[in-house]
Amino acid sequence: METRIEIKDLSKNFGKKQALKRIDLQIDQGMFGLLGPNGAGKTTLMKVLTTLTKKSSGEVTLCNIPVEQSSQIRRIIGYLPQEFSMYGNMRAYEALDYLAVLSGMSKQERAEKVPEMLEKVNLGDQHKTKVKAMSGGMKRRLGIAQAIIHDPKIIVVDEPTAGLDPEERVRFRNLLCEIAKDRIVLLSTHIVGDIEATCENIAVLNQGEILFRGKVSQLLEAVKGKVYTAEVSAMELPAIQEKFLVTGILTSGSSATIKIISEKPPMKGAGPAGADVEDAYMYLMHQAQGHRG
Amino acid sequence: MFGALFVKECKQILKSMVYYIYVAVFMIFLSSQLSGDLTDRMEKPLPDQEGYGTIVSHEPSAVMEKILAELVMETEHNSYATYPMGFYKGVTLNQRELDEVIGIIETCTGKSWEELMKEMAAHFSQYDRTTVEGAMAAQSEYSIFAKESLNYDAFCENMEKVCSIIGAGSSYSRKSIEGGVSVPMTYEQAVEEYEALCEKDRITGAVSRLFCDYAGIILSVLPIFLGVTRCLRDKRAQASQVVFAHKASAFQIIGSRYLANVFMAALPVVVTSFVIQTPYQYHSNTVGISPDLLAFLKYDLIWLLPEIMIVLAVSFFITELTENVISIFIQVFWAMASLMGASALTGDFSLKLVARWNAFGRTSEFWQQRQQLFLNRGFYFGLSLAFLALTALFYEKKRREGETLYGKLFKRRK
Repeated sequence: METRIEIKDLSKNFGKKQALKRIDLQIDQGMFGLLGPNGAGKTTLMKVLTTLTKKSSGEVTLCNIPVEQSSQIRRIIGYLPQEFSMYGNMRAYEALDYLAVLSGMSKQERAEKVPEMLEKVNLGDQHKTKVKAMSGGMKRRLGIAQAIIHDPKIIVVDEPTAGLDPEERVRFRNLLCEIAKDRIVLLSTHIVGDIEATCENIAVLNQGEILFRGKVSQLLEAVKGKVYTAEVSAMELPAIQEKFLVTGILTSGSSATIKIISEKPPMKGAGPAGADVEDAYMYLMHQAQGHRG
Repeated sequence: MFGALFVKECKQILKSMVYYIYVAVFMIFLSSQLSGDLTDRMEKPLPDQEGYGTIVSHEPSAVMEKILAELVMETEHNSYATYPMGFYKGVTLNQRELDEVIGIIETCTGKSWEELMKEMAAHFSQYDRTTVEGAMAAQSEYSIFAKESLNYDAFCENMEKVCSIIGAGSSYSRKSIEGGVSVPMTYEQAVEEYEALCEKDRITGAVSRLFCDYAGIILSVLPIFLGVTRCLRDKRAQASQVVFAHKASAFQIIGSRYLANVFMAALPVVVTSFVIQTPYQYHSNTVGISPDLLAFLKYDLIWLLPEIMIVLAVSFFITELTENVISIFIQVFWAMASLMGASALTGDFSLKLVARWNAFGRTSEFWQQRQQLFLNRGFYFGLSLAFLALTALFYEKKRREGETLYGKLFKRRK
């Protein structure tokens, strides 16, 4: 079975609102990042892939299985929704065991895999902690454990790091990279840092449309030579922000060091600066909106 | 997978506060209704006893006597009890309507209204009506003979005319009249009844029947709360999406939840009925009657289980459909309508949700109506499976489309 997601001409309408507009995407084994602002249609796309929402038109196959065959699809996917939670009075072990039963695992398999997965997501010592007593990070780790326990070919994680502290976020990203070795991990997020740290292949979604698909290096290429840095007076900042796309400001007393994306040198004294994914993403979004710069 | 899910659901129910409230309310209700000793009603009748209780009679002359007596009493007060939609409604007639009813009574009895009033006053003056027992005895022993030339069919036609004046749901409808009337038992009838109690019910059967009558009342409502709680649990815990995305089919998920709730709801019922039966089991042995040791289980399974099943199935269906607690209001109304709509406290099972037999014994009469009870319970058993299938189908649809019917309607309205 080929581990691949193929999306052709996918559209999804909610009444008159078009949430996804003729999406074409191919996702192969490894980590894949889906980046976009809130409301871009990322969650809708995730739900179509996980059979939780019907597509309006187009073709979607996961490992060559059409998404319409929902029961077959559910066997090969693991899903961590944006708002993952379980019954508050269940302990970590019980919750994972319950969800493992829903995945069709036998008693022997569960007895072996549940403790193993809890260890893997660093919840081994907290297997007796009730879900209602868990922190956001612990819940997400439990969420990823339930998504991978049945060894799915495809794992879909929707905004997994939102609300986590920096340490939890790094730990979680590393965990995702670790489990992506022999399967597809589709990571949806609006946090550029998550994509930068984990994904080589990405797509940028905005208002239901794919703005970019390719490698991170290709995205960076688009902004190469267009990122400048300059030291300006704090008083000038509002006017500069009005005129240019400013992606970073570091104030120090009455002056500020700013990062600007511009087709040509924006002002005297501005020098070239290194571009990161956030700059490239911002540039792409502003291009799409027909903004200045 | 189904068995493991079933066990896990049962464990979850055991951790639920709602379940313990269910058990407590059930126990309290039953102990308040069945706390009395029934052994005095199991004694063999003696020839010189003061009375032997009552029996339902379908004898035309007895029916006419009692129905006419009730009509005269209600007409005297110009206050008629009716149950048009299952709920009590008192009816007061205007003078023209009242005169029409009095005319019908005079036609049926061959006596003037004044004569009837004199006879009535004479009858009631024989009793001490300041006590409840006296008032009840005066009322139960009051009867009016129909005139000799009036046959049963003509009597029924006259009562239909009364019905058309008073309105639907009165005691004078053909259906109500066909239910028979309570008349005092003779010694021979009492002996016959006692023999049926010993041979057919073997004592414990009659105890279980009375238990089912009371338990059936409370079980028309209590399981609703278990069903609603289970169906709203995923939503409250924000676990719907994660459960939806798993391999288990809608039939496995809904079926295991439903079966676990049916099992856990029935468990205290079976235990309580066994506990209530036990002393009577010993009593039967001491008086030399072989008790039916499994009577409690037979009655629970045939009488109460279909009721638990249908109440839970409907609450599952409505709650999955709407994702709110509206099922509680709908089903409490249904239970009340069933209770209030009963034309008798014993029998008349038809398709009523709550099957009533608020009497100890009356074995022969029950045995005659047993088939009707089986049909009633069979109907609800089948209906609950149909509702369960519908719930699973809707759950699968919701799983694929991510919306409830209520959500769609609400959006359209906006």
